[in-house]
Amino acid sequence: MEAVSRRGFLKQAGAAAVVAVAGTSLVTAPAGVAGALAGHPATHEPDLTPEETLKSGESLVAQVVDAPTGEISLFIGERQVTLHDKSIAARLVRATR
Amino acid sequence: MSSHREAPEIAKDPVADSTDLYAFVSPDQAGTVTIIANYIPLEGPAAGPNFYEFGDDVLYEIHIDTDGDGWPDITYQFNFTTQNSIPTTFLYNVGPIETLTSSNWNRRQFYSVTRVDHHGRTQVLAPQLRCPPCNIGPLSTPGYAALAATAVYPLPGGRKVFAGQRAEAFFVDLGAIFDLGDLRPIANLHNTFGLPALAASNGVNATASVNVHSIALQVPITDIAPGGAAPSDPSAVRSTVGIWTSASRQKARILDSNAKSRFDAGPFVQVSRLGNPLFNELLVPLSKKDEWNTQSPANDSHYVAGVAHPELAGLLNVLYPGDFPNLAAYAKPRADLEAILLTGIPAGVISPTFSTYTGSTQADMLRLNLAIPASKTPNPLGVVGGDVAGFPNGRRIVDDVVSIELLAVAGATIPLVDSSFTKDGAIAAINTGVTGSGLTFLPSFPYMGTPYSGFDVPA
Repeated sequence: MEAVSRRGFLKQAGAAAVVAVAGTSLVTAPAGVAGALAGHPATHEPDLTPEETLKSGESLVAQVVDAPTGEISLFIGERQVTLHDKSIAARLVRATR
Repeated sequence: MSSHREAPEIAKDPVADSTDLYAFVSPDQAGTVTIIANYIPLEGPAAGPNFYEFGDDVLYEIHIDTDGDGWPDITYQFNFTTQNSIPTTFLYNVGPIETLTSSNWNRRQFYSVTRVDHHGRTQVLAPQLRCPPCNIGPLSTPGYAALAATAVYPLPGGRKVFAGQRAEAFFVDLGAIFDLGDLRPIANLHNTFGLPALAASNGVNATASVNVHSIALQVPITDIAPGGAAPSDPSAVRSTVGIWTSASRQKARILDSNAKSRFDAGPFVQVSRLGNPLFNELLVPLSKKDEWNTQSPANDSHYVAGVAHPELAGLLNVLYPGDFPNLAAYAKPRADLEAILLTGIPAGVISPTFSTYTGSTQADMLRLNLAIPASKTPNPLGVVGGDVAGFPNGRRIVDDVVSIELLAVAGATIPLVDSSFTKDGAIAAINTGVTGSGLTFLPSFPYMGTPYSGFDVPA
């Protein structure tokens, strides 16, 4: 069991950048964030196939845990995936500025 | 509610707040064990229009450790879902609820039961069972006891389950204990910090006439015994299992202005747990209580200091000046409390045939010796009162765990492990002034009493 409380996580999440994605569109990020991300498409990332894309009603939450190292936590369903990508982290953080 | 509101953050999350855990060899069903995990503290019976219910977003679990390492080998999971069947009404019910399928009942709750073994294999024991309604009153829930009894369900493998509202069974004078320990029957002996003296008086049960939500499970001993065989030697380490309950929530939650758009994501993280009564409440520093709630018992070596040198033991001789000189002078780590709460009591300490020892791993678990049968005449003081079928060998509903633990902390159990210690005479005067004599229980599963109705207990 991880040594972090739910409240602790929420507090931590509040200090970091959190982006929520539902379906295939950004729904909870402010318009400016959505616009900034939309305006900077990934250079080499192909479109999601129908099999890859989020299912209807499925949501994904991304937490930039540590921008300098590019550590990003992704929460989907009952899973957590940790990603290390400085470029994505930088783009997410920059989109909030 | 030996653990109700015991930590700052979980106190704000009552749906996930475990309040009491009971585990005992069933007195009326030989060869079975009953485990009851209670949640949602201090439910006022008159709770309309929104009556208490389990959290659909909370994962409730009962864990069994069969090898003494503080990690679960068997887990029972309970997941709840709530449905509104009459979308146009603001009411919980629009007429009497006389059956669990009553069309008068608007907001009802269902749950699944899943067993997970130490290989991680899951077995859904029941996909959708019904909770009873809360006890509202003679018009809304007539014949409540019989109605609730229909919510006791058999499960595969000789198991039995119930989940729903019950009468609180724990008793404690919270108002006195947390007013700097001025136990009412001996308040005249308190130092009162220079303030006017207090008079002795009768104790007051602060949890009288309130309800809780219980998850009660009865399983064959073979379902949780090491190796799946019922033990017969009470002195054997493998006869004792460790039990605790937990509640978990998913890591991430997004709330939108539209309440329907709330969603949770990510793995479940533990936000509440309970093994021995009052452990977190009394022995873990305030700054670490919520952290403790997130941990598994296997990690409890980090919290040994509060057990080895309990703050309350040091306070007793201050609050009651000069009454506990031997306890005040006792500087050794409290091996008695470490055994009772963290490792179990080895055979030979109480008697050659009594043991709750599970090994050297220090873990707060409610330890139950499966080879010791239920007592026909339970003594609420359990092992301290000479009844080896009671706390800290498991915990029965009737056990007076506040008095037992208060006596233990005050030094009553030190001589079990250190013959050089002489108990202070004041131990005989320790009295919380509260007993469970006014509480009613059921003679059979789920044992917890019929909840108080809002009509009968309006305030």
